[in-house]
Amino acid sequence: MRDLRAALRPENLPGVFVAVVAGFLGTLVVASAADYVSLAQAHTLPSFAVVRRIEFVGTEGSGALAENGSVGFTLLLRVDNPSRRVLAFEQVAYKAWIEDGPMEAGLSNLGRTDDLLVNQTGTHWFYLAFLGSQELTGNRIPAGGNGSVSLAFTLAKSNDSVRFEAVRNITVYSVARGRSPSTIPWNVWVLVSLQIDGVPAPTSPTAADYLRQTTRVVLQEGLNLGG
Amino acid sequence: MAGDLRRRLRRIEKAAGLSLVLGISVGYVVFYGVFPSSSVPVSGDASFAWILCVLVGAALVVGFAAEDIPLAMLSAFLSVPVALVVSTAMGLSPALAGLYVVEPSEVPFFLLHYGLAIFALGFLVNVVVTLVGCALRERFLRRVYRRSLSGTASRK
Repeated sequence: MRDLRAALRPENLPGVFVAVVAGFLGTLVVASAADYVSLAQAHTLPSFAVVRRIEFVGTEGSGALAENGSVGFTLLLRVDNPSRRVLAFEQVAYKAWIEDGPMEAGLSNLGRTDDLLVNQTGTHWFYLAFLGSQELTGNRIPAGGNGSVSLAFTLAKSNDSVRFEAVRNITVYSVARGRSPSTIPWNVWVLVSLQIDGVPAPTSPTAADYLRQTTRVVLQEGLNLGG
Repeated sequence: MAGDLRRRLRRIEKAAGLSLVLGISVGYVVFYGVFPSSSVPVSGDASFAWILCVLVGAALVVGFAAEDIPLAMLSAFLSVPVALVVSTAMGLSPALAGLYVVEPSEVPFFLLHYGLAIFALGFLVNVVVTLVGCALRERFLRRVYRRSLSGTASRK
């Protein structure tokens, strides 16, 4: 009690004020650094896995895709979040290419544009059969947990006749070469953006780009042939 | 001779302590200005009012605690490298936790690039407001001294 009274004597007050301000600033510094570490964890630690399934529905007796058939494309996106921040699915962008056998065989008048993939096995041409993006709302990934989202898309003559005909042509060619359409290689690329909970976006139109980027985590898997 | 040296050492010690407080305040506001969404208090855009409040508050108290104007000025100048170290350490905190978001060597330049205006503002506030704090101290101590003198006289 006597110590406290001595510390609060007028001549000691400046020192007391300095100690209080130093403590307050120290708390702000430590809390801000901890907040920044948790944000960095949310940017670097989450991992992303994609399970994809592609099936030809409605095939001819030979196995080729029928004119009234369709191609089903399902994606299961799973995100593991070991960070201390809650994440939320925001948006997904996807592309799926089918290896274009007729193009690789040098057939002319196909009337389509393919993307080139050169790897150790040689030069391959891929046709873009599925592409799009979709908003994902309401799916949250808890801190230290995981979350998943399932998406399904269908390619049929009724919704995209040009792409459907191209895929059908590729399956017909594959059957003609004695290969089942289900063995045709696909290249799938998926990009998912996740919003980090508790990170407000800047409202100023002149805010630096890095401030907008810190609010979300962008994860991708696969090769984006289109660039 | 020994007393003079001791007094000088105590003065240097005090200047170091006060410059640490000023440096922490500037270092913090620089980090807050560059990363407002990952600071405390968290906000989308940095609040100029909050930056000014922290800077003025710290500088006023340091000026109040400084014994004279040269000590206050010395603290204000010494706070510049301290601020740089504090803001860089905060920017490097993920690396200290084993996470490398950006190249550690880039952190001080990144903070200087985006926080230069706040650094300059911090230095300016430290110089001007510590002087105001010194003036307040003079007034405060004079009043306390006068009160204690009148108290002694009335007791007699």
